[in-house]
Amino acid sequence: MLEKFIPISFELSVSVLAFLLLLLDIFGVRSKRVFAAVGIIGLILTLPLTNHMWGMHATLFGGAYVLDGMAVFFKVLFIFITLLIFLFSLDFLEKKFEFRGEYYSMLLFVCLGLMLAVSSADLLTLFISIELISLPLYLLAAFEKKNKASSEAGLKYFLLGAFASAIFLYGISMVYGTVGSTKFVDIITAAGKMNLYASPVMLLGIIGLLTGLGFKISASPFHMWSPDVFEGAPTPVAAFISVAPKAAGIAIIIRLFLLSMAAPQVQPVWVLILLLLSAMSMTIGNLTAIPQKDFKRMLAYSGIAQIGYVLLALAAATTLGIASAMFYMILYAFTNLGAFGVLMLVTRMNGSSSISEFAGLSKRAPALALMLLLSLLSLAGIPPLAGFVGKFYLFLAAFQHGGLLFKIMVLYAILNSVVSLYYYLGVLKVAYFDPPADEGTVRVPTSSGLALFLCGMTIVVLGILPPLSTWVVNITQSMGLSL
Amino acid sequence: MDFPFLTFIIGIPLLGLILIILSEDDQKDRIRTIAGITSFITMLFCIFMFCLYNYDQGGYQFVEWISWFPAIGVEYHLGVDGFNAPLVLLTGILGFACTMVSFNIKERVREYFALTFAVLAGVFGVFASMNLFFFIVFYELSSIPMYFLIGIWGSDKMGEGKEVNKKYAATKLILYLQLGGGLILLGALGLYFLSGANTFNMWILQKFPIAAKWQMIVFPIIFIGFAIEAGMVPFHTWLPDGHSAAPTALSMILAGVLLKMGGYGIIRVAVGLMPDGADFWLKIFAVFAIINILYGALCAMMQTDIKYIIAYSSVSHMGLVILGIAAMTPLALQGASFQMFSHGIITALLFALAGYLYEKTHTRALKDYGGLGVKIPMLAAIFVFAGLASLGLPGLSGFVAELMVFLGAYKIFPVIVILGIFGILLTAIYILRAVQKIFFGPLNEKCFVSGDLTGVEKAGPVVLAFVIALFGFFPSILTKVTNPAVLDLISRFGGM
Repeated sequence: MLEKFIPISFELSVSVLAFLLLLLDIFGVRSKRVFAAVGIIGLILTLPLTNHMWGMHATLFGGAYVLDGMAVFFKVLFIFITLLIFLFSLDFLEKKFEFRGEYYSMLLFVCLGLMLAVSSADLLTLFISIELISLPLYLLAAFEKKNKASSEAGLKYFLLGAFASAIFLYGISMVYGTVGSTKFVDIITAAGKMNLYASPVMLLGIIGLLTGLGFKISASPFHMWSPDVFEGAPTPVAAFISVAPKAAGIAIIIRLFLLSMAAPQVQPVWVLILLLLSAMSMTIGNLTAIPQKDFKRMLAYSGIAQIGYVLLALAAATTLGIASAMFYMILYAFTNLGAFGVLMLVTRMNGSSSISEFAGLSKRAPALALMLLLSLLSLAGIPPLAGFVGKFYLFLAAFQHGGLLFKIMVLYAILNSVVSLYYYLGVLKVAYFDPPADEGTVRVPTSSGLALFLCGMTIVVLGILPPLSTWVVNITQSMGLSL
Repeated sequence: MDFPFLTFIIGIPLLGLILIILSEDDQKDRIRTIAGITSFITMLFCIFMFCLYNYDQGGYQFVEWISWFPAIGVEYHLGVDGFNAPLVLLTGILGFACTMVSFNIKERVREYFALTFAVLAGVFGVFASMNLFFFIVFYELSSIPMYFLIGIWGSDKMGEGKEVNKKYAATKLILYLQLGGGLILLGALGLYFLSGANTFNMWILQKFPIAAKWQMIVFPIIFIGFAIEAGMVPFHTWLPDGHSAAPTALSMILAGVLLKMGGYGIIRVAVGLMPDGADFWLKIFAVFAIINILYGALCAMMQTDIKYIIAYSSVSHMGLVILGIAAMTPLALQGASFQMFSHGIITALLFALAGYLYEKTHTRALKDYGGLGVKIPMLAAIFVFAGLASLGLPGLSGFVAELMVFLGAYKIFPVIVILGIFGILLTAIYILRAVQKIFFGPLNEKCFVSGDLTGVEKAGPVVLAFVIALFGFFPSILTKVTNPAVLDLISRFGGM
């Protein structure tokens, strides 16, 4: 009897956990540590479930939900991301604002939505999961109620997000109109017989879907919300928004486009759109990041650029492209969280996120400065850190694609990554060369320290142990999905 | 399996790095001792390796080959032949000299030596790697610490002209080097796929060169990537600023080995793997080489900061290397190889002395000096010696290299060689001008000098000066080793 639930056991346990935290709040538990501890222990306890799901290929709810290697992969990644955010939030919440218990349970609901999204094999399930991701995130962004910037961030995120959702839904309706079904399996069959010249509606559908997803992964030109939201939202929430929905968005693009619309009749359309998004994201992300004075805004733009690199590999539409994108999402998550974590600790007292806050960090807190160095250099793609291996795969995947266009795009991406080094180094320059404005050492609490240590280890280990990336490649190949 | 010399040569600096990081920041003497011993052992290993290289047999020796990531053809694959054996030796000698010179560093000693050793390990890795992936990884490993070395321990420009801030110089250097690295990465991806071999192994890529039409495109990409490192005009602007702003030891590494990574890369990767592309493009790049020689020399004549003079002289001398490669005759290629070694030692010596000069007088501007020969005879003597080596005095290593390049290239590019000889004349002018302004003439009373070279300060310069004389008198020590590799490359080159 219980076996039936194995494929959705992650989702079940996370929702149980989320409701448990809500109940704790209702029953008057006021200690922040209890909430976080229950959440962290609960999340860690879900991890052994992976054992049962490994190598499983299951379809549930009449084809609306699939569980395969990629889904498990992303689900585990989301659990880790949520864990890290819990660890960071513990210290941050203490200082920042009066505690409200729903914070942690909302994070868990987002996690639930992310897990459902990467398993959705039906456009409607997908839409519902995306909404489940977004709605708690809107609230979380505005969580710092007394802070105007936070409220503004929440509102802006909500309005633009709702707009994007509407376009996405409109896209779904177009696809449904052409295919006659919302299931991905039906899309695969229909795409093979399609003639886009005769029915341009599908074209509009694809554009609608990619617009909605482009918003979620903050690919340019749908990126406008991200710097403002990052700047205004509480830092742990900004960190969460900067990695989790992007990873989910990439997973959705893989499942919806690379796997379901691989037929040569429709493929050129979305490949071209992905390339366009990629080129714009790289350019706008990197160039706009240069003048930023605020670290969160800079990371927002850098994240836009990073997504550009990933989209380039996805546009190649090969197994290696998928594998490299998946690998990149792991290291991007850990690296970005590492950078945000350092920011959280350094600016915990005054809440500013200006880059000048880092002045003299190498003297005030050498360990934090080292962590900042590791994460920013990894983002810039410097060996022997994870970022280099990741970018190397992305470029390898894109270059492998036969077209000359792709080779030129790889050149462009490499030039962009040189540009990106400039602004990452700008931050390190402040941290290492400038005299400290404030002589006091930065206290590193245990939980954040642990989280940062995890991030740092991941950045280094993924960088120097290529066999780990082989593992990711194997997962992709064992997914049993034909391309 | 043979004794893994090359792994030890890369590993010992890394071990030293770890030991240094584990020390406390205030145990300065302990850190210096570790650094000194580590670099000395590394140098010994390099010398052993060079002496044990069997030049009768030629080819690649001390090969280590471990599969690392077979899925994409990445292997930990080291080896030396006639081209990189001298460069590994050069790095070993300079590593020791740099450590000796760095004993005067007082601030943040631990980080300083840790970063310097990271650079050294990276450079060794680049020279020894036979796999493009590791080549690039080591390249980046060596370049990133330079940013911090310059930014923290560097100095601003002195003397007249445009002001150059050390942070500006550090950023410029690293962006240029990364741009070069990026182009090399792109070229490596090109070789990986276009060869159809799906490997980064240079031995295999050499056997299965990519189609000639692709070589025409990939060759300039890789060539320019390396030429940026080698300081080829018009991509040289990072070089004077970066070299001059760097702390003494890093200036020595930059001029001594980093530029050589560019020259070596051109020989090994660009020309070695793409002979057809080289056949077409090298004639064009020969023109850049002569511009390098003349333009670098003319710029050096105008400089008022002693380190800038040396830096521009590097630009000029690297032109000779590129000219030697472009000519592609056995003699010229030998000369290029010799010039890389010789220039590495000579320029490093000049930078070391300029560093000491700055320490003793607290200025680098030429106008503040005058008649210092009386006060610091030892420093003056070695400086004059190094200057003469740099301008190509017979009997010293610089002369042998220049002669070989010019003789070898004359048949191919007569006009360029004749112009190049003017470059030598200009070199004599700017070197003698600098020597005369600093050490001779009436004593500048305003110039405060704190004393001549003492004790440990002598170690670095004396070792380097000895090497210059040794290879000047016995060039065959080096040419015997390079010869088989040169002939092998030329034979694969065919066409010329």
